Amino acid sequence: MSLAINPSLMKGILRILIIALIAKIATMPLFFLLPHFGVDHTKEFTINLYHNFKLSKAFALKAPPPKKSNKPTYKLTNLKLKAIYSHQDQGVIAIEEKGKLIFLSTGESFKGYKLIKVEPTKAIFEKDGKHYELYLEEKNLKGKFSISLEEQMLINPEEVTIAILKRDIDHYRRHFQKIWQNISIQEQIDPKTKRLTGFKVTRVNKNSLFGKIGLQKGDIIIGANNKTFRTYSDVLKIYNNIDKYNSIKLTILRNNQKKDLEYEIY
Amino acid sequence: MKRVSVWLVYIVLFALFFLWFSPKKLLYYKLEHILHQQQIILSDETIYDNFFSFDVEDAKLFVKDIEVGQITKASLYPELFINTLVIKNFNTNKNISLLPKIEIRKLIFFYTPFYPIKIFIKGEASDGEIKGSIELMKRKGFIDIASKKPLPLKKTKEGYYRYEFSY
Repeated sequence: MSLAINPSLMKGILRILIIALIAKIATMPLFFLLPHFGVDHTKEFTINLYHNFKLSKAFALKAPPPKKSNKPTYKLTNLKLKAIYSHQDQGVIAIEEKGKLIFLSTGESFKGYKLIKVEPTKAIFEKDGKHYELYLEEKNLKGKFSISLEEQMLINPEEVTIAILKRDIDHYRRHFQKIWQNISIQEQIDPKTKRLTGFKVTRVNKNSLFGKIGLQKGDIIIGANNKTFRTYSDVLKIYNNIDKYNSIKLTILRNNQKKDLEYEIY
Repeated sequence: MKRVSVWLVYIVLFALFFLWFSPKKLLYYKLEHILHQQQIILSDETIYDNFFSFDVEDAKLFVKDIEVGQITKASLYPELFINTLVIKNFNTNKNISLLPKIEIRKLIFFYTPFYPIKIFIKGEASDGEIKGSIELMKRKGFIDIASKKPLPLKKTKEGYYRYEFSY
């Protein structure tokens, strides 16, 4: 039995194999030049192990008494103090919110504000280590802003608390375009890391809510609620959950100095 | 003439073998690194390396760290002279109220080295046609989207909502 091989067919197959080999060799440098790992999105976790750790507990020592706060007191807004019964800083008060009367005795809390002291003319609440005063119903208290921003800035320019109404926030959430009619912001990117560092206010309408809450042209909003903005999702989380917050703290850079603007939402 | 046609066959064969042997997965990783510089990330995807194409399935698209949507399937056909990227079913993230609720059924990016300054975009969304282009020299582009619902984008004379971008 003889095996007949067509020499021209063999020649053709050999040429195809040579082309395939050349193509294979041509692709080889790509294996060395191209990256062998892709890019996946990773969530940034920040764990502060020592956040709730007290050294005194580890050595069974008695913790030092908490320092008395020397911070200025602010008036609690949007509530009306209708009646007071006090005896030696203890007592019962009647407050009115949206036409509803609520009774509180010392030690009780309302929307996170703990009633700690009742005096003949005012009630003192405590929240997050700060004291808030509520006086017997005043004619001039309109419910939106307690004292003017300028007055608060004079008391303590580093910490300013402003009241915002939930309905104003809802209005801007429903009419998103109105935000940009009253304020313009520009993202700030670190040229080295190419990551977000904040948002610069390039224009603000002073008569709008954004002007009233203390934002000024040139301010750089670098964080909120004690968290520095590192990603756009940080900002988006606050936007998506804004109706769940009772208070918001904005950290801004004004003239290269860090400043906190605090907002109570009613 | 016969000699020329034989050489043409060799070139085509070389191109086909080159595509077959080329590390398409590594090319995709390179593309991911380039996109990452523009803060665009495709994550959690499944990769299929085929003979002449490359498929990515169930990818989450992150732009500037925000999950903007999910791609059911994207196929890349790097055929040297006719390069196409076909994206099937892109759904925007419904949890983000800022994003327009658009369902993109098909989006095709077409590039040929015979017209190297432009990438053409064509597609189909839930409410109609999508068209656009990317000008590679000017580093900018636009996508026109037909939508019955109003979108927070500029409206063109033809009635499309235009998304313009630069990079």
